[in-house]
Amino acid sequence: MEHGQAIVILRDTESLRRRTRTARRSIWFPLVLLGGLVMGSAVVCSDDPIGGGASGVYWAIAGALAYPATYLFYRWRSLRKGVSDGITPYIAVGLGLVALTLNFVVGVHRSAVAVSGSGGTSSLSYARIVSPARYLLSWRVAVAVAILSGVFALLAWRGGRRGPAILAASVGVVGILFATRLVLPEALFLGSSLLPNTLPIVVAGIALVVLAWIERSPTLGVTAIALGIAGILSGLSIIDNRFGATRGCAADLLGIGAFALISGVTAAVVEWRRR
Amino acid sequence: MEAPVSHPAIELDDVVHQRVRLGILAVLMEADRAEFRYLRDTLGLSDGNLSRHLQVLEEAGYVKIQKGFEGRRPRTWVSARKLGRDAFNAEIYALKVIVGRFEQQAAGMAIEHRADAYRSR
Repeated sequence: MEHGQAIVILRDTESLRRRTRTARRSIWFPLVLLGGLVMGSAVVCSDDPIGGGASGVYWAIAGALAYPATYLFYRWRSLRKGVSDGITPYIAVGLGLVALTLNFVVGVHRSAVAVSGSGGTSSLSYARIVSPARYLLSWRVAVAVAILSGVFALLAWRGGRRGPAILAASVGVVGILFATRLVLPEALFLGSSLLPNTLPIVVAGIALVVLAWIERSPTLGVTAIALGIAGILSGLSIIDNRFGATRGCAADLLGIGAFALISGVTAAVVEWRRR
Repeated sequence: MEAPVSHPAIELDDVVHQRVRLGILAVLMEADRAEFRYLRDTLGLSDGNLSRHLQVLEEAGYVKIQKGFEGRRPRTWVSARKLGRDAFNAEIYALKVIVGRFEQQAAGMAIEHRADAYRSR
């Protein structure tokens, strides 16, 4: 074989790979979705470090719906384009983190029970969190996630996608274990009190790093890390007010959400132009 | 006596070396799986031609072909197996060795040429 022929083959092969990468790669949807959810969470956020019960419930429901929605988006896109991504690791990490968020929700209520039972001075403020109705709500969220995972698993299995189906079923089982209080007691509550309101942004950022690796997108990787750092800084500022911040949690969440939203829209425009 | 040096072209795999089949694997290296229609349009082939090449790759254990329905539309999805990915990488490596070897020879000849010109002064 001549070297000239080899050069042409190598060039054509690389061109085909680049063309397929462009057709396959898409990062706008998860960013826009996350931006919308973060902005929506501003409505339920609380500046009280232990008062994030509503925010936890919001994120448990949002996460349980967002990842199946993302999976369906990529599936629809793969049918339209004719090439598909292997986004199973992203969905798995994302749903796993939702399961942890769920435990944080239950943990908040349990920990609050312990504090109010000890007769501390703040028992009145804790009472609103530990009311039986709110505790029951957390329990119901756990069951809801288990049911949603079951439905997702069934749909994935019927679509011939065994990997996502098995992972969704696993998450469902974990949800049931949480609901029946068989695993992971109050220990994980620590995470929720560490970063009230913004912990879900940090864990969503971790999942997005996985997606960036799958999509081989440095842009998404940098955006995901920036979102995670913004979430950590915002959460810490609410707890210790160490940055002298006087704004409430809503302003931070709206800012972070807008950043994710703008990043997603920019990515959509770039993808549309490349077509 | 020196051992004979094998030419990198000997390392080329006949199944993958064929340009269309190399193109199919190039596409599949970048995607989890690709639809028959996408491969046909991207590579500019007829249905029959693509089918024949896919059959060769499948028989070699390089690709996996899944047929099914999405709604009422029949779909054929193709994905690369590990064997196929390894064969593709080996092929690309062999091609790069061929190019690299020529470039080395060309550089060597240029140096010799310059040395001759210097000596003849």
